[in-house]
Amino acid sequence: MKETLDLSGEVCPFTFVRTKLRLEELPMGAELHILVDHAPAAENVPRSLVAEGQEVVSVAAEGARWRIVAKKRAEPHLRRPGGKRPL
Amino acid sequence: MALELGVLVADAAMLPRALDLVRNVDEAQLFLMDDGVRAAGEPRLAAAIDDGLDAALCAMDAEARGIVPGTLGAGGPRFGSQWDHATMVRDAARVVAMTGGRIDDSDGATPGPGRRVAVRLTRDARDPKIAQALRAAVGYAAVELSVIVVVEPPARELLRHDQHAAAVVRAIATLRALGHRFVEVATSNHRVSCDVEVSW
Repeated sequence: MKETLDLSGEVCPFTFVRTKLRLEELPMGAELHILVDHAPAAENVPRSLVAEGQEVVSVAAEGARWRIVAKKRAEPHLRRPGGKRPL
Repeated sequence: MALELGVLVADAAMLPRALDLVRNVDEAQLFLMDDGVRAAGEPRLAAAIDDGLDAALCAMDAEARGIVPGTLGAGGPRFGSQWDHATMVRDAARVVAMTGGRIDDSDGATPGPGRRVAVRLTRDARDPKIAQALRAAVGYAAVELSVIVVVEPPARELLRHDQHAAAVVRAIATLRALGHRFVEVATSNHRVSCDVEVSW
């Protein structure tokens, strides 16, 4: 399974919040392609993913954006009881 | 080794005090955000990093103030994110927050996921530091901390309507949607049950 999450225009901390929310919805082993256009995110999002047990397959520049390819290897826990999908 | 001390600096004038705190602590982290990033080029900070201090700054706040990689001398802090800040608050045995208002010193609570963090809003709802506080709170929520946003009287307009800056509205919506709490208190002396406090 392969999904794409376009985070163009998004900044910290919503870059990693939205990444974790999408990973929550995916099955274990699924591949998530994350597109970012803020240079710090191209370093910080992969670093946080690895620290939280996810696999980062690659990070590559694509014009003014970066494509981060990650595989879900751990279950994120972001929503608290009663929580729902953020706007 | 466990992280003994985490220090948040959101006011550059607080750097000397922060460096006094981390001196002689084996495992300490420092995170600079908001106007605290203006201290990123301080030689005293570079010296502390050289002595083993783990220091990072909010790359987004730095960029907004013209501080980008390459503009600092050798040995400066890492260009990090709110994730670095949030994991520091999650994992440090003692957390000290210097945001430009009161100084919070939280010690003794067990670090780790589920730790309860009170983000106290002590300023007018339109003050830019309120947006920063809420941005930080969203970061805390992302690393499995339990966030309680404590709204003191000067900030009470925050919950009266939604005619705020887009970033503020979004952060409030995100925190609520993720199941975190907002509590309005009548006085600044009113305490809420929590493990770590960060006042803005």
